[in-house]
Amino acid sequence: MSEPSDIALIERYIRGELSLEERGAVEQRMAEDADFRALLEDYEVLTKGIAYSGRKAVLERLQNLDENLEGTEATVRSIAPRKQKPVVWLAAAAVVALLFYAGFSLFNAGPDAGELYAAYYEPYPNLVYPITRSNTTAQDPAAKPYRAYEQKDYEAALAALNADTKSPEDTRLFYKGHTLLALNQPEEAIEAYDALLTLPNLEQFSDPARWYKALALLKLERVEEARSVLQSLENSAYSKESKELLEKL
Amino acid sequence: MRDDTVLTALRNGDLAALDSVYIEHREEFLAWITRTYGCTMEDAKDIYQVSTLLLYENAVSGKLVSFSGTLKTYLFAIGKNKAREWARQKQRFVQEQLMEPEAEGAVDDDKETLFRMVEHGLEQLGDPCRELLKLFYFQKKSVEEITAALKYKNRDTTKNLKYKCLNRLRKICKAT
Repeated sequence: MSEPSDIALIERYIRGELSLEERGAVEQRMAEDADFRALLEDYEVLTKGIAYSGRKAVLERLQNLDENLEGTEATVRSIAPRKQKPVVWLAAAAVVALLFYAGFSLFNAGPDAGELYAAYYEPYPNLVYPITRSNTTAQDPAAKPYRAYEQKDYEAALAALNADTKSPEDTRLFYKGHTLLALNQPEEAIEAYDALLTLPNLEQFSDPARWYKALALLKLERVEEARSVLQSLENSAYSKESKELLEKL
Repeated sequence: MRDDTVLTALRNGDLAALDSVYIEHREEFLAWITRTYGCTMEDAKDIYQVSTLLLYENAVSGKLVSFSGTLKTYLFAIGKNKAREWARQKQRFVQEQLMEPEAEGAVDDDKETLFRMVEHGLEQLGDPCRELLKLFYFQKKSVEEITAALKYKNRDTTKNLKYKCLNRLRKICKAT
């Protein structure tokens, strides 16, 4: 366990807030105290890693927004083809997308389940990428499905997940569900989530599996079933989203 | 929305405001970047996404206080720099930008593995630690701002919790 005072010192050292004398003392300690040196190295990795993770979440949001924009664009165009200048339709698409994201509707007629699905669905991040300090993960066959999943190569991810015998069953089913959902196969995704939800000791998988199952049900317009799954998420990590979505249904 | 209203919203971490900025300038930016740098639409989107991300990061961290011109000229100026970096980094562009948006040289592969480990650790850590650490080290908020945002008792509570959370994250990462 490292001392808070050491972390505070390291923070000031990295920010360049120490006097010449204090700086000298830190550098002296680095040379003599291996634990302190390790703490400093870890501090840099941890804080930069946190920033990386924050950036990645925002970037993924933008990528997802962009994909939904294109989806909306295509729909709008296919409903009303011909003659209109594309630029008008892009603007219309942007407005529609904005409405989705602002979470309100101009009209009081409830939005349909498919639209709600599109507004709430975000691919679940890959969190099982096997983490090692070496460079061997690229060759590690156990990492294959999750690498493919992360790279959005869902066909390859599905094939690898079906062939996978190394991952724990809960992890495998969890990502199989997400992969199928991304491949636009909500029924099969629900099967995977249901199989997962019968396993014991699910802990971290239980809430997201139910949330994504509810989204898959919405996609199939099985609104009543979706509603009851969402109700079961009342005190979960997805309580906010579930409540919001229930109000819109 | 006026530029300074948008900036205030971004400063408060409002991602919906970022979505609207993204949508508003998307078409023009993509047309401009593909025309000027001869890149594909997919590359242009990467450049645009990384540029809006940097706009967000600069606003939320307080580095960007006001626009000397307009939000649009600011965003396009970032875009111009990012397009140049893209021309240099190509395949590695997005990864490099996530790791060290301000760095000039290339970032090594090991670092990416380490950062992913931290990302994974953060998920395991859960809230409130995860949120607290992101406010500190991604959004670069001050102890005062975080104390107010997370409704902690005082500065010391926030600071102590930050050290505890960092230590827990370090332990989790060490265990993997």
